[in-house]
Amino acid sequence: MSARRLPVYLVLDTSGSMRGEPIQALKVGVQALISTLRQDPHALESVHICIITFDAKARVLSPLQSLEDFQMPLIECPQSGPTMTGAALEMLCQCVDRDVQRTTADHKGDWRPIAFLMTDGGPNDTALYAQMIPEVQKRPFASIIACAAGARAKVEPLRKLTANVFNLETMDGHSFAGLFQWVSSTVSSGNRSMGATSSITLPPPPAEIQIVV
Amino acid sequence: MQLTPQRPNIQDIPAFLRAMAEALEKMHVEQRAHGGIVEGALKDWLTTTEDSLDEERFRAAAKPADQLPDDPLQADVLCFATYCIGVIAGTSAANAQPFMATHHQGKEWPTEFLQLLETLAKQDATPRVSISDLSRALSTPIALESVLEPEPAGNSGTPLVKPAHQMPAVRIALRNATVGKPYSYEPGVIASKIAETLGHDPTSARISHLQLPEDCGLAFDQLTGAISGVPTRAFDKELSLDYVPSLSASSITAKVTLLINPDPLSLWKDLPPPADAPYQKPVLAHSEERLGPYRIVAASRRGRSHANKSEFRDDDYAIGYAEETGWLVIVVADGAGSAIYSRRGSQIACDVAKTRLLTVLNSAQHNQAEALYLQHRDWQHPEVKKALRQCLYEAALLAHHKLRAEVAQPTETLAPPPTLRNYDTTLILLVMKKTGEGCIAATFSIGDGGAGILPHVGEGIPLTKADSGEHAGQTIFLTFDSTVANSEANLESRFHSAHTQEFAGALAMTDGITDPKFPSDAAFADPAQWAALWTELQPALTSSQALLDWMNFFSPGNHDDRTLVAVLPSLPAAPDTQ
Repeated sequence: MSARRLPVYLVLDTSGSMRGEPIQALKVGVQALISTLRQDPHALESVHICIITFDAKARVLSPLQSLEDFQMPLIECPQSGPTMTGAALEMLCQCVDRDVQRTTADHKGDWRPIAFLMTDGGPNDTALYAQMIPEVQKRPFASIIACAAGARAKVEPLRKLTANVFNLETMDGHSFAGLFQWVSSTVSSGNRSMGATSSITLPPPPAEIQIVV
Repeated sequence: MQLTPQRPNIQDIPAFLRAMAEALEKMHVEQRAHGGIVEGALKDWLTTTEDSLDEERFRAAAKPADQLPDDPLQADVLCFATYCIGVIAGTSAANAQPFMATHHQGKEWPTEFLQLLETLAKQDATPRVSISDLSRALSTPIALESVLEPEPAGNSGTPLVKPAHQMPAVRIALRNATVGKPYSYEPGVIASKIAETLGHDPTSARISHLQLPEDCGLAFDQLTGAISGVPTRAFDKELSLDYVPSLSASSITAKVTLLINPDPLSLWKDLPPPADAPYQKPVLAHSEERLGPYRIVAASRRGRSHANKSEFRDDDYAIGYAEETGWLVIVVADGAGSAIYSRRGSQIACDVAKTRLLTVLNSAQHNQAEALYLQHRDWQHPEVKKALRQCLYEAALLAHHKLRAEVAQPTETLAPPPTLRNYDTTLILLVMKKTGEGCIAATFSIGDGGAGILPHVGEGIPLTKADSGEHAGQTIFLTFDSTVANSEANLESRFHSAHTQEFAGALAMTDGITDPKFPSDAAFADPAQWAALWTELQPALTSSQALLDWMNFFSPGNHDDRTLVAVLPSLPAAPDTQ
């Protein structure tokens, strides 16, 4: 019998503005997140990671796979181009519909998935973005965490998506390290008994992250 | 300058490349500028304009000049590569940059392609480059990260042309391993995978050396290229590997990453719960006793997930026996991990429900079910069942109200003031009685976990239906008004009863046991799965300490608190041997 999975979707902005230090810091942050989770026995047995990146288009960079088998993919960004956040949400919904196992008579369901969206801009495909918000909210996420990174990130569209919006003022290695450390504690506390309706309680964010209220 | 080469015939390309390589070599030997020599070579093969080739643009075609390697030959090879792409693609050299962007998304040239060009540049007597090699190298998926080996320190004395084994290396990742889990690569698999990626012949490639860390539990077989073993320690390392593309070729040293996950079992910590927290509860509890015709073995232990975070055991259980009427009362409850005072919630639920059931069932006056049974002489009679159901429901309802009372007036000083949801707990009530006509058992359950009775050792009858959601961890609790609603639908869904002729045992347990032992709802409903669990439990039922030890079993992903109460027929006392 295989253990029930805790699917974790990392939806990451790789548009041109992330080039340079931000994308390097993001890569290191994701790598650190994975390493930290590997030291958490519950996470090591249950967490499955999927990485979706988006710039001019959205793509599944790394399909859902166990933390045990996960290998860091190459994260790259183009010189320039639009930020198709709506397309990324559409892809997220497709992945959740396909990947996440619900309870049946013969199979126990997965834990409710967690989605983490990081962007340093605003959606260029605003119509699709608006259309996908109710679709994402229909999916059984235990938690959707959105992070607006850097000064140019637009917070308003993220607040329409989730109540958990955080602002990362700078996009250097230190900030991303703090952010992903916090994401890992969120993931670690994700697989606990919870009521049918309640969502998980987020641990307090680190100092670098501003909570957008 | 504008080169407008005609696309050469496919079969001409190796010769073209050879000519270009000769031109480069000559240029370096004679230390002459690029323009004349290279253009001379090109003109032999291509129709060009009258413009002459200038060195600056030759270099700029490949990369911004400041990004070119310091080694002049390497730099020329990169520029040369750009030209070759242009030639093969039928585009002009000036357009090579866009071509690069289109076909390689701005990535480095595939290592093997550069290597082929470098081979040419070294003027091997018989270049091994064929157009199919080139095109295969060009289409190399970039899954293998191409890296040029860093320049060795103090290399001023190194020859211009490097020996083959220092040529550009590839970085390869082996499949992740886990401590304690057998791991293997079949003979030749690694070599042929690298060969396939690089466009070599997989049948002749081999790995001549792989440096695995000492005492890591894995061994590399130099003869077959297999890896096998059981990893003994976790690490994430870059290892050195020597790859030999063919029998006649010399080896290429590459970096290989290998990650060994720790054994999850070794990561669990066993931390005591905080001594100054309210509602203290021991992390272990167990008991065994003889009550009437029964022997009861019970144990409850804190789950690894709680021990790891210095949290309390949230499960609880209570057992009682109504001496007057012979009713046995078993209660198990599982406090929700997400509720901070659920350990108290489960304790209140167990104590209150047990006390209430004992009071009611032990008195002929209050025990409607008993009275109705005497009238109908049938435990399955609707009126009898309904009376039993009411008796169980009222116990649950009383426990619900006691939780509310605790919220209103906590027995300990709590800050901030608690809410009802802080005491979330499941509740399973099991009552049973042996009569001359067999055994009657009835349950009332809220949430997950479950109870069942075994008429024979080979068959179990599940007596509860878990409230489970679409996803793991979703259940409902005694604290919800809906679970104690006085509606026919609610009561009927929570009540189950059975009347069996024989009795071999009964079990009541929390989801810490049911999740790993009954992997699906279908399994929980399967009498054979109950029989299998009963068989597995037999050695553990010799004492409650043995049961507590058994409960420490390891099941990936199942680390909740575990509570199990087993009811067995009491063996007759051993006859006096005197």
